[in-house]
Amino acid sequence: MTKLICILAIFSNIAFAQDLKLEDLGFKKETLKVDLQEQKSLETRSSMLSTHQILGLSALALMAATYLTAEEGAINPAEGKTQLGATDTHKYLGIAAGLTYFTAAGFSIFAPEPKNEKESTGSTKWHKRLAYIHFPAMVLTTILGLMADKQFKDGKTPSGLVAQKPLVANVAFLSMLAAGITMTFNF
Amino acid sequence: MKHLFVFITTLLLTTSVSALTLSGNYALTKGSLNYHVHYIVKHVQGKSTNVKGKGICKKAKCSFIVAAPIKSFVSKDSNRDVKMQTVTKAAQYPMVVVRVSSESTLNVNQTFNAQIKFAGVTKEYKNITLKAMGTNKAFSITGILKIKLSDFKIERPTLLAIAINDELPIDINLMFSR
Repeated sequence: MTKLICILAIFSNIAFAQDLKLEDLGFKKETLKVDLQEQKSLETRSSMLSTHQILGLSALALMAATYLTAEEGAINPAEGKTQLGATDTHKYLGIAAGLTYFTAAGFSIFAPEPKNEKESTGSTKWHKRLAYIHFPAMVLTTILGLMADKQFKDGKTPSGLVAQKPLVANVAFLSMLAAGITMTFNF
Repeated sequence: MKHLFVFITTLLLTTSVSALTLSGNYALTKGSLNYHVHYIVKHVQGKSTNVKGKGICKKAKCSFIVAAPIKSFVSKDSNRDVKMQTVTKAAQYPMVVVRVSSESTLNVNQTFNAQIKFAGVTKEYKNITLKAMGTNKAFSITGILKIKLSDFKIERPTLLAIAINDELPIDINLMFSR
């Protein structure tokens, strides 16, 4: 009996509270509007950015491996290597890193933007700013890598801008690492 | 005479603070809701000041409605806010609505029954203790509402395969006036 009275009391309280309507609070109509299309878009965006995150971290790991194998191409008379040139390991790791990087970038670039998107804040702001460094650096690294490979095949030592490839690649790697850190500690 | 004045003033102040008898209609004049998310050692907050509400007190009972748009909650990171809007289905269920009922006489530490509609799920919470202070013309309700994401079937965001805590304490800071 006591339980029944309690249930009735709670029910009457809640029923009383129903007298007050959300529509009477003065929110704008568009604030209360249900937009299923936008929800779908948000979910697509979230899924694409998750893939972007996984591929971005994979690209970073491949870039680190490419960096670590870069020295294998150096001249080393003790090992009988008298001509400068990238090893296949370095070359294929570079190709894999580049492909993964540009795929990851695509998932971010083509992810649908949120409706009424405001200016980025916090770590996201820095993550986006860093893309202005690592994206051109990665494009340049790829082009310089192809040019260097051609020069090696022609028996030449890289010169001019091609000789700067390690520097450009380092800029790409470090800015990518920084971009990864800003978002890895964000959820 | 001076002692009598001090005694009466103290008595009046104590009375107004210890119990508050409400009657009539009330409107929320100022308010904020502040959620807290915990992830291992990291703590994140998101705040909304776009909170609106009303209250009616009659026949010794009061009922209040307080609502805020999900999109109005901002943390210090825009990407996190969009992620929060995604998992809470903000476009499909744009508002968080709290309906509270209580007796019309509020004590400083008052227990309330609340019905929360969030992310398309309605959940009832009983005997929530909040602090009520002020007069019957203007009063504040403050406290922490301890809800769980699982109560509202909200998928918890993860980082490196570890999900954020299920508990989502919400700081309530509401000012009502007649």
